[in-house]
Amino acid sequence: MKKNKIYRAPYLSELLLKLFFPDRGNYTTVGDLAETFNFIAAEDGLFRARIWYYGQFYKSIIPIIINLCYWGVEMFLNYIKIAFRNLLKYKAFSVINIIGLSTGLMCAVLIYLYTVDELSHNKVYDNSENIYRLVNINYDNEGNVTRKFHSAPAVLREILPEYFEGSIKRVTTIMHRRGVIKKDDNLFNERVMFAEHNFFETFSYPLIYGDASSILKNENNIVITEEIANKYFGNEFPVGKELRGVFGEVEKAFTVSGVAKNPKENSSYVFDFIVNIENQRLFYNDNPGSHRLKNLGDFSAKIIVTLNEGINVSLLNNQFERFVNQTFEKDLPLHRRFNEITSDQIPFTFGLQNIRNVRFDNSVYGGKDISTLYILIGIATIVLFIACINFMNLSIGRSSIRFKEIGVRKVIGAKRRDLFKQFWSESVLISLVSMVFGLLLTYLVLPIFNELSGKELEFSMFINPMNLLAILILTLFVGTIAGIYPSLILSKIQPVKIFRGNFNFGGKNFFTKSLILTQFSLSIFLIISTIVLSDQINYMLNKDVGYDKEGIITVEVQERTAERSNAVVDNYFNKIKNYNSVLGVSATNDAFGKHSSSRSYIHKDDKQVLVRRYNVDHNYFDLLNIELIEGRNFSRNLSTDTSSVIINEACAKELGLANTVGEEVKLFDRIPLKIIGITKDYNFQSLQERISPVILYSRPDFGRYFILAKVSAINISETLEFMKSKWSEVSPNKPFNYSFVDDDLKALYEEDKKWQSIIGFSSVLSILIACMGVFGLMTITISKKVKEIGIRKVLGASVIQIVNLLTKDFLKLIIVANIIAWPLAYYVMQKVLQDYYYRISIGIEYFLTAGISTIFIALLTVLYLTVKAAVKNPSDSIRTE
Amino acid sequence: MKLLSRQEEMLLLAVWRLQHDAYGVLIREKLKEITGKEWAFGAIFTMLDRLVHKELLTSYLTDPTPERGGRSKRIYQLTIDGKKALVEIKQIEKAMWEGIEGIGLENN
Repeated sequence: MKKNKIYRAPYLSELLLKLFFPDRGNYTTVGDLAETFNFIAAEDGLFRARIWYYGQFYKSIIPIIINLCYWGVEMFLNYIKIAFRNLLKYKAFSVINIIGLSTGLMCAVLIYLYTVDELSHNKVYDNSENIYRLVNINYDNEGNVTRKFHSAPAVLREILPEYFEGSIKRVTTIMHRRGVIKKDDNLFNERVMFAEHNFFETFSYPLIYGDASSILKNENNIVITEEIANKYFGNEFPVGKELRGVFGEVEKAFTVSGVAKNPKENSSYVFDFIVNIENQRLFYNDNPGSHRLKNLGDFSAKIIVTLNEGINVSLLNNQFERFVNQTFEKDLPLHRRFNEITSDQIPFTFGLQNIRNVRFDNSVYGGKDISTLYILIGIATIVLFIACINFMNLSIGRSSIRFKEIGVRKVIGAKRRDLFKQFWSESVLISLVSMVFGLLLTYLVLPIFNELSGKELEFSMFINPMNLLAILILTLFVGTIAGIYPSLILSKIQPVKIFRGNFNFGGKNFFTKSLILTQFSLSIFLIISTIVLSDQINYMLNKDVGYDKEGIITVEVQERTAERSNAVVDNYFNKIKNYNSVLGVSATNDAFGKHSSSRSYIHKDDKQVLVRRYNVDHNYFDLLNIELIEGRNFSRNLSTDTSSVIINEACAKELGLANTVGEEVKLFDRIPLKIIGITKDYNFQSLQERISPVILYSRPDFGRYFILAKVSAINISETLEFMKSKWSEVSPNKPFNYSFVDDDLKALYEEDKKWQSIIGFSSVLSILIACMGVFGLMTITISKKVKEIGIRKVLGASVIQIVNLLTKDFLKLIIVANIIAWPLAYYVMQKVLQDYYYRISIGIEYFLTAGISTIFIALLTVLYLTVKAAVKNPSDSIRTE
Repeated sequence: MKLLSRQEEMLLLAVWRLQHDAYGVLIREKLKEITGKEWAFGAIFTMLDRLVHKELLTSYLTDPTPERGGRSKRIYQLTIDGKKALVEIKQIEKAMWEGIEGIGLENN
């Protein structure tokens, strides 16, 4: 026997044994086995020693595991059984917990759905990892990026594949044009997509009829969606039917060649109608020089590039500067001037951006700010957290009921860990039950949520392994968050103290109080936010915008050229202006009350001002009741005032002239315009933005594309009917497209309204849940104080004194919660309101309203309980001891 | 007090005989030596645990040794109660055998 040789016992078996022997880390048993192993190895050889060791391992590990499993399952079943008994026994608490948690979970699930949907933007397309959009990146004089747009000249569709040969698999170009689609006598204004014939190869929209590769090949084909097919054809079979498209003066018959499933909203390239992009040619037959498909200067197309597998995008992106220098060589000076670049800095380049990243990239025009998503997640977390706090508080407050159970369990031999496991599994069970209800609620609430969020979420989307796993994790997480503190507290209790009887616990718990404080602070915060937001929206809707918006109807002329449009306008005026419900008519070049976009520079000496410009007539100011503070209106005779301009106060201020009226400014630095009047500032845009400089001129040779008519408030439907009938006489090929200006204005604040209602809902939910929790806690407190109340009453306390006694502490808490929430809400809302140029000031009244209403609601909650306790006959409560 | 079982008695005696070397491996060796049977580790440890629980044995840890892969030994020792229990069982056995010459098979 070689004395000093040491043999190593099989590693894995030893490890497992160590894992299962609860030997407080000393492993003396494992040590004994190792020693014997050594001994046998020295005597009989390593092989036999191993055999022996495995034998020992097998013999010990199997019973250990069986034992663990058996008792694990047995105890777990017992925990579940007790948990269910408790659920049924204390119904009020179970209901409070389950309602709270399931509402919280509902919020979480809804926001989860929303987030998943938002983040999966454009992921619906197969092969989306290889699809990129071409982004136009503009620079300023210092070489900083100024603006990014998803737009490019359509002609690049021919140049790009050659230039980047081998990298680019497919280029898909998209343009849009508004037009009228005719089927027999039905006219509808529609937006038509002009797309490359390979559109359906790039974007894998499921087709109901038609084949992706050939559906758009023919220039006479048109592809529509299921919805459109229903709108135009009803039950008829759409394929092969004719639809006529009218774009300005161009009219063309298309044959429906395919029907696509309605595109999902969470993709960038949705459509109603698609025709082949070569049809753009129709519009430029008489003027090939301005042909959009050939013109390098026309940045009006969206270009989507599909790359070959395994191409490095950043390498391609580096080549665009050279590409622009070569391709746009002739136009670069023009672009430099446009971007105000004096050096030889390149004015713009292109970049490829994967379409999956476009939703939350707000550096590119049209991208969303991802913080909205964070805010939503934050709100859902708040509601869920408030519900978790209820669970914690009620479990702790109620713990005295379970002292005996805990004591007995401990005496019988439960360790702290076992009790912890028990309470933990109880809270997970409750959270599981709540999740079931929460999902049910989600199912019921989803349509409302869709309305609010403008989404098309479906519950069925939810049923996939990924989401179910997420739900399970969420449930466990919530169960743990809600259960961890009570479990720690309850498992800590010493049985001796319990049985001795004078164990006081929970009543004046600092932790409980701070939790209630948190709940109410958060609720109050949400309430203040709701009030402030809705007030801001009301303010924007009701603020005097500087003109009359009541009863003004806008009608879109839908003609392309100034000549034709003005002819329609004048004709129409003659037909309707004598009708007694039409109080006045006017016309302008741009929609009123919507976001307007045409901006240009006017120059005065070396000064330049960026203005929005409107072509109007002399009726404009009277019709809208816009006040002229200086100068005069355009003269009635259109021809004499063609080189006159009326500006608004903001513009006058920016020009900063001593005597504004009578001066001359130059539009586009070349057209001279004489200022004849100044209007009071009026809000022609959303009140989120400052009133910007505006110039109004009256030139009959410039187009006026929108008719403004003021109608009297009585018999509106009759008036509209009249206007419509006259419209079809004037412009038989165009639908009567009208809207009320005040509706348009309201539409500007849709987004804000959405936020207001989302936050409003969550504040209502949170305060409700918080109050339910308080209700539960108050029940516990009162049940503990029954004797105290009885004795106080015997000694002469009045009902009011007792109610006061019970609610005093609680009231203090809510007041403190107010004090915490106010500065927080003030800070956050101040930040939010900074986005609005015209905003309300956050006065103390918002905080007082929120504070008083929370106190009122909370008092109402506890009052019932306290009064009931206070009027109780003391002989009942102190009869027995 | 409950009487010791025979196995417990043997185990206690083995511990007493080994004195300061009374840990798992040697206890098993000792029992094998005396009874001529292989004892499973499991059986020994369960019983040792039970005796510690009954406070007939106490145990302490030694310093780790290399031949055990750096693990300590748990050395067992009789307590006063353990000794009393042994004495008691010995007296009872003695009393039971008192006056019995033989049961007729000793010489086979």
